[in-house]
Amino acid sequence: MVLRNLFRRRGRTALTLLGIAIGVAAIVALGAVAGGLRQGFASMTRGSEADFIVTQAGALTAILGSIDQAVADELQAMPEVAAVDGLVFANTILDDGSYLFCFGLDPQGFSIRRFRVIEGERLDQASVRRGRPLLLGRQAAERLHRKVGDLLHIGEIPFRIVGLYETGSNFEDSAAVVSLEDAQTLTVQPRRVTLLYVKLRDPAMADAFRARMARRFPDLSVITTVGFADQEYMVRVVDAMAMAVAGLAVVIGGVGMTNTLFMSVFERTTEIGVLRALGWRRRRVVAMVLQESLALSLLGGLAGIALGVAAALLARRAGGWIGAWGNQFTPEIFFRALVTVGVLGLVGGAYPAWWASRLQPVEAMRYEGGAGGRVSRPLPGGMPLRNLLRRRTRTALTTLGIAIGIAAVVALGGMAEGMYAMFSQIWRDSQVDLIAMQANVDSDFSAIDERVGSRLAAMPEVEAVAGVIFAALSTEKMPMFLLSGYHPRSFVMGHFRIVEGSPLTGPRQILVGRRAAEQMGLKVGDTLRLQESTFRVVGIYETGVAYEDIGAVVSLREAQVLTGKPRQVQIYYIKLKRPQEAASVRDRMKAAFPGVDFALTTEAEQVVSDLRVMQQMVGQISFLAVFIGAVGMLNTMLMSVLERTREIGVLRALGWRRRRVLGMILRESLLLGILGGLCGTALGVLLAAGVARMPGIAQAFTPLFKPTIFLQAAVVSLVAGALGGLYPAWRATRMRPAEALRYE
Amino acid sequence: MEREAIVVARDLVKVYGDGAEVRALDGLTMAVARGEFIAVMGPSGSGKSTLLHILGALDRPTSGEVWVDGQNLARIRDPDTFRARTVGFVFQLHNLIPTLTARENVEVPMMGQPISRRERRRRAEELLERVGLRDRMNHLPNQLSGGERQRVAIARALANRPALILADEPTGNLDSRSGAEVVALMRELNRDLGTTILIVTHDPSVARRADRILLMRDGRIIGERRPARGMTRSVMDTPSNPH
Repeated sequence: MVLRNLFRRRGRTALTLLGIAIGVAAIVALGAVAGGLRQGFASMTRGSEADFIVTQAGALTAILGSIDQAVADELQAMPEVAAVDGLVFANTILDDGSYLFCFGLDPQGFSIRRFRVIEGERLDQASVRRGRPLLLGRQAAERLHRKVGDLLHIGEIPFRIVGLYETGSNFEDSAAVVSLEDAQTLTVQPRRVTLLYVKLRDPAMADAFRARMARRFPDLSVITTVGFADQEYMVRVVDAMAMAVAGLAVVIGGVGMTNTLFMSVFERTTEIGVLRALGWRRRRVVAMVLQESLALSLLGGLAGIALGVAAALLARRAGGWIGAWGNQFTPEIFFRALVTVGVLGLVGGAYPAWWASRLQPVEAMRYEGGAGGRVSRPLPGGMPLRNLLRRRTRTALTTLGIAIGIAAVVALGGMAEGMYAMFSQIWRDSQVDLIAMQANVDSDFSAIDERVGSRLAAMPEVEAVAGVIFAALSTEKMPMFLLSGYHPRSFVMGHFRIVEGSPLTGPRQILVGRRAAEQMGLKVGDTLRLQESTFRVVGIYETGVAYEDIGAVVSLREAQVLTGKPRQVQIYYIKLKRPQEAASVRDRMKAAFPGVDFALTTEAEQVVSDLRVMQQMVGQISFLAVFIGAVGMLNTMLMSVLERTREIGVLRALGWRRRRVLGMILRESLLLGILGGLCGTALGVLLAAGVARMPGIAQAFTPLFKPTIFLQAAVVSLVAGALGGLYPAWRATRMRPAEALRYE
Repeated sequence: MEREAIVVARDLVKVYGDGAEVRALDGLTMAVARGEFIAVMGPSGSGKSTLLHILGALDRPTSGEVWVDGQNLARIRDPDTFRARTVGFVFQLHNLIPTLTARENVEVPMMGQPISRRERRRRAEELLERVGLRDRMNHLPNQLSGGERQRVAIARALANRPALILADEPTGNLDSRSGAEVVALMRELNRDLGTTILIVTHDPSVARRADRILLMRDGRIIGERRPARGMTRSVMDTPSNPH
């Protein structure tokens, strides 16, 4: 009976299934991405046979940490320690633009053993003819279509694939392993490692080891390998992202679900009256409706799981960020998907079931069907608005669905714009014309040799060159503390307006931003300890750029020591003698320095990957929002047209043309889109403001809302409205008046 | 007296369905003179509603010819305009737009016609006054009684001054008193405005008020009756008479 009821209206059931399936697919696919990352970190630590992991205390994420390799030698000498292994983590970009994570490990060390070679040779056995030896993960090999013996160029360096490995973690199996030294060449950080694996002689010595580490290296943290993955910042970020997108999809799916069931119960009013008259109890009616809703959500859930698995498998092959992370399915993901589906079924069915059980048998049997929504007092506005107000709950839910998508567009857009504005303000204030970064790496990993800077400065077109190092540290009082390193006499220093104290003059000095000084309670003359060094606060500055005002500035030399990048900078800011020639100078520089990427400050997103990733994210979420919003809209409008079949028949009988009916339905869906757009814009502005107040990374910039963002939101909501309304409107016009009048 | 015909149908056939064919109309021939008040009676499934839909250009005949007010409906180009201007429909209960007030419901057929908003409103008020609902103008259908709703539907049918009103069981869901009032109103409009009225009904007491009764069976007209004058009177005098 349950399935038969659902099959009565196949089109509507299919649409609802689609809505639920999309939501569940999002849960599964994104959950797999987060799962892969979590599993990868867990495998990186637990699988290594190490007891502890030693990381840089201030680093936001362990994979961005940097430790002097000399520390490893010193640890090795400790009485508790059996073995120490360094790991270098390099996020590289291949010739074709796809990402490949590289692990740098000692070929003879203990932690490389977990990379089980399934084909070819081990790293330490390899007799390499040309190119440096590299082990490629099985999944990476599939994705990149490489086999043992092939060459692989990473940056400028040729690697020879000597073997394929498998660890069982998709994250690791989507990556590559090279020797520690080669990885240090890739990251241009000789004698630095990302983290250290420590194996103890006896697990009982753990406390003694911790105590010794705390005394000897207060700036390093010692983490047990068990809890590592859960604490990892990246895992948490991806997890949160997955939850947010899944939540959005579930809201949309839920709206469709409630819609369908309510409609289905509504049009069976007479039937339910008959069932009640035949002696069915309320409870039985409730059970029937709930069973229908559970069947519906379960079917949608299964379809969604299939869809999500397919999407995740496809992503593995497609590469890019998601592909390089190697997603992983865990039982927990499917469990989460099924729980969501169950909750959707119960919640989506609850209201219709309650409504159905409240029907009085006699009244229900006398019920005439036809128009939906009881209107008992005059509603305001024209026909479109009144039709939306007829089904207030449904309208509110659909609006919410669109609003969440639009809010994401507005909030992310505002944050991206704020981030961009922050950088461009620095560039504008300092009259920077060109930016140089290492080609083909993530901006966090960019490193340019200072000799490049000298050669750039010697070019006749160049007025001045300033090397920059950014580092995200954390202190006790501030979870995220942005340290910039500039040469004290570089032209960029001019925009730091000293409000108290004096500029940088000598070693071990630091300038602190006004807001950071307030937050940490620092005054001129105080000392500040960062990692292994102590600095004296000589001045407090203000720039008006949020991330600078909550940060600090040290000399370039000190920053190079702190980040482990001696004689290297992350970015070069270049000021030209004739700024109007910037584009041609950029092309000449690109030709002269093949390993370095140059961009005008107006096209900075091409080289600054943070900006690029943010922009892509805004683009993708906008697309998702339009799609999901349009599906929700389609569902709602189709229901609305269906339940008004008779009414539309009457309108046509009274001489309304098809065009007029089409216009009426389209106006309704556009109105719904606009409503969702307005709510979403307000929600997005609030959201961005809320995020900007949160401690940590987001505090680094203030969101900026340009008119273009609002324009984008308006376009997105109107497109969602038009897309979602077009088919139902067309359906409405195709109804033959005589048949529509006979409906129900 | 011989008057100009407003409806002429010859050998009308309407077949529904692809597999199991249903011949809803099977060679129906009829004529209605301008200004007549006609009732069509017949058992369920005799093709009454189909006939009404074809006369109202809601549906096309499978074969045969049908002329309404000089227009050939088998080959009509713009059925929308025909429906808006030439005919007016009155259906059973529950055919008013629930979100619109009585006045706005009467305005519906005038939307899309070259009539100004003010004229539309004025005309709707005039029509509602004519059907005795001036004080109920701003009520929603839900706030009106069944009889009142049908009077709004009649006012709506008259909106574009049609030559012909087609009514499909207009008293079907009304108590006999309200039903009689609705029919009395239609009779009055027929007399005062000269509008031709064709009413499909089951109810003999309604049919008795007509000038002519057409009897239908199996998609054909099988007979015609003219109710006696005295009979008509007696019904008018005792509207609460059941059956």
